[in-house]
Amino acid sequence: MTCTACGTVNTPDSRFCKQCGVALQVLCRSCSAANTPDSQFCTTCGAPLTHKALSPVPRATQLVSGGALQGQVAQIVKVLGGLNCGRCGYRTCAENALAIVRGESAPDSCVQGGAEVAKQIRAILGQPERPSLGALLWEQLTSIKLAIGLIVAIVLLSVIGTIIPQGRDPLFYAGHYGMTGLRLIQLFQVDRLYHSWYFLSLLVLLAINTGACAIKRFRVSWELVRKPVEPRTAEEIAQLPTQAKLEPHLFKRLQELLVQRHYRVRCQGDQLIAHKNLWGRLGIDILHVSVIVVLMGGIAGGLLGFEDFQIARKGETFTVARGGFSVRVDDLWTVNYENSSQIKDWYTKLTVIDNGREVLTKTIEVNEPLTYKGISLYQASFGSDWLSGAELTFRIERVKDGTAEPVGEITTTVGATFPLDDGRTAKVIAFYPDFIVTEQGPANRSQALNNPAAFLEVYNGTHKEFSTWTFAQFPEFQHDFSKENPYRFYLVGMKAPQFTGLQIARNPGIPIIYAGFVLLIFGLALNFYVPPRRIWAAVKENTLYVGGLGREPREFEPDFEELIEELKSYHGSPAPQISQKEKEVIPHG
Amino acid sequence: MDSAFFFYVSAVGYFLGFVFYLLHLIGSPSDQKTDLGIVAASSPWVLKQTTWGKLATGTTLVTVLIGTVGMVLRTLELSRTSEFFLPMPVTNTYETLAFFSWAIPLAYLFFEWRYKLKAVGAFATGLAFIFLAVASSPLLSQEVRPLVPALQSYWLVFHVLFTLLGEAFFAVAFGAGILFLWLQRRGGNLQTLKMLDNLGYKAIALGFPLFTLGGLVFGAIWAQHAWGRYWGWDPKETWMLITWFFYALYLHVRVKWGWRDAKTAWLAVGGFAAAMFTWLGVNYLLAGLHSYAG
Ligand code: HEM
Repeated sequence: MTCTACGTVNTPDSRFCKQCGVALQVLCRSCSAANTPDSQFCTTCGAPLTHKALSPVPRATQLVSGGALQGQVAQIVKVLGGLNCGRCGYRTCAENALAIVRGESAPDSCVQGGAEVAKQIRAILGQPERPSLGALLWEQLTSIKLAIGLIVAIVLLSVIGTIIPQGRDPLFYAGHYGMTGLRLIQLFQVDRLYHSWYFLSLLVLLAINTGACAIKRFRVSWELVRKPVEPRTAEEIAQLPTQAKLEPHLFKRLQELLVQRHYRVRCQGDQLIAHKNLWGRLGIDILHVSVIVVLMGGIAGGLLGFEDFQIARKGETFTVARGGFSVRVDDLWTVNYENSSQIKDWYTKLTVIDNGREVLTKTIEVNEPLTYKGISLYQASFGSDWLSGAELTFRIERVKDGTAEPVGEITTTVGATFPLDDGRTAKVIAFYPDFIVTEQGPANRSQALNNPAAFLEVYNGTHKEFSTWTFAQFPEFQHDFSKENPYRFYLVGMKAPQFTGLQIARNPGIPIIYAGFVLLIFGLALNFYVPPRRIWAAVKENTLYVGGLGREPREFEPDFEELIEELKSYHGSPAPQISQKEKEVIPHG
Repeated sequence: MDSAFFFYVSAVGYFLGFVFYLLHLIGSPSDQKTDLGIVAASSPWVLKQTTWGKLATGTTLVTVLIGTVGMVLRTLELSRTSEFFLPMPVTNTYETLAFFSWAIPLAYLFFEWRYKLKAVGAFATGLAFIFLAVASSPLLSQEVRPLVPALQSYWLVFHVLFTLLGEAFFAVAFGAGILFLWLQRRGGNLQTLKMLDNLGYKAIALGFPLFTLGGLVFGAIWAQHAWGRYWGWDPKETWMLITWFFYALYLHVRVKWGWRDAKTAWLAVGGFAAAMFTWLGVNYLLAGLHSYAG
């Protein structure tokens, strides 16, 4: 049985390593049964023996040199006791010791040892007995635990924010959640959760956390990318998470296969070192840094930018105070799809006037804004002002002795009075573009021209004689409250001034955010699509040890196994099949 | 023949593929159980070749091609109603469902080709069938409608394309996760479980960058172009961020905490559920700017 700490081969029944004294077993975290160090599942209860993985660094097994544990790691393993209980999260005490030396695990991570062991470890590391506040803070800030806690908190709060509608007025919340609900919502700012101080703090903290992680990790990544990969001995190779033992004559073949797979291969005696894509490691750091860049862009936009909404009619000029210029709406129109009432696009022709001079004219449409002095005007919405500006055309008839005589046509507006032919006058009292009757009486369902209706009154002098409703879509239905009304009003034409809805915004954070996006995608692609690979091989005692490290232990396994399969299928004859084929071809040439 | 016909035929094709993959799964020799619970077989049965399996792969491959024809036709149909030419039909729920049910088997076939593992096929074709069946059902309008103004943007195409491609990989991870959990309960062999676990991680590792590019990056750029704000905490945007964080969480607990197997399998299932809620749940249960669904 091979010791997980120092690689010494012990007899199968050994419980402790004869060389370094570390326990040759891994305890199951569910049932505490002892398992061999290479077990993936507990042979007693079947629970998976999952442990934290050591991050692969240039020499993951700095543990050994000629079979003996080295320096601080060796001292810490001794202090830790070598029980391999797994409660720190690592498989073995030796792995935790290495993690502690590297700063990936805390000096007080040993659950079994408690405070006393933590003190001794700090002494070995030369850390003050009580770590300084700064060191403690840094440790917390770079901890993955904090990252996961923050992400979970952000996710949960975000879910709440999508369930409880945001930005409504207090009456809405009181109506839906009662008075207590309203008070709670206001107390915790749930009505504007995404802008609340605590949510924003969580986001900022996550970004700082991410950045701190990147800084802490960068040293290791950089070393891995820049430093030449060091050779490993057979014992060291045997400890790698992905490794195999093969017949020694395959050494040459392995070299060929690795070159075929674009590895850089070098040999030192009977040791082989191969690697590729090492710079792919930088991907994670680039992507973590990008998170900060995006956040800085967001903050810059929030502090220096603004968002406004402007409604304007044709011919109107409005000022954009933040930019110190004004904008005139020259024209606005909509285009429908052919033979359809479906809108294809909205257009507004705008002229920018700066310092009394017309500097820029552009027709904007949805997805096609105008930008001047860093301020953009977006076509956001479009509508017709039926409520205050409608122009209505009525055809008027008078019924006399059972027959209707035309009186004439008139175009007027709501509130205006117009004369009829017999000295009477009529007045348009109200106009509804989308008429509906509610409990409170007539009302508008929408601003669109779906069911237009007008209400008119007829006067004789100052005396109101008749009143009537008229509907554009139901012209024969003239609802008179006084049956003897001789007039018929037909709503034959309706026009309203159109208005355009413009989103006016400046966001100086955008270039920063986009730069962050580029970094983010670049980092992700590097990390996931250019996975770093290192492979070592060495011959010892008539055995070829091959092992390797990828980005993450299991991530590399399929590739590694494929390589080993191909190696095994090669039956070391000195004349490989390829050259036989070549021989067959030769006669023709 | 119109696109709907081809989508209809591909729904039938995925169903056949599903049945064949299922027969392949059932037809494989099951693991031996011992007192210890598990025994390692020399070659994991997920790698076994059966005639059903070959038939299933062939059917799925052909069906993906039929779906491709359907999508090309739909693109042409769309270009006849709108002058704005969208190179992909991704303007309403019907079209995106059809696209997704094309992307999932495609993502799956990549893994089958790369890792020779057919076990997840039943999930990929099954999901594709369900999504196409929902798309073709009377619940959704299959009508070709001209594009409303906000949708006339190439960013929309990139946004939907990459998001759904990423989610197709998440769907494969979801299938691997479910299969893992089911086999573990049955006491599947170690090597099989390990391969499924690894497959799930690989799928997420491939899908995450695509999803980030489509959902986060192109989504924000499109919103910036169309509405003048790249982010607005709209329920759809928020849920997409939740999904994204969820998968980031998956990657971290896996790489840093060494979570594996059942734990990450559950996370893969949860992540896919969040992705589906972002896509469909938000449209029908929560309201917002993005509700172009029809
Ligand atoms: C929005 C925030 C974050 C995102 C999107 C993110 C994304 C990622 C991704 C995609 C990976 C690669 C995983 C893999 O290779 O499978 C990764 C790895 C990692 N992340 Fe993050 N991360 C974030 C925040 C953080 C934070 C706050 C920390 C620090 C506590 C952190 C620490 C790490 C570490 C240590 C690794 C593993 C590196 C290795 O392989 O050795 N991340 N992250």
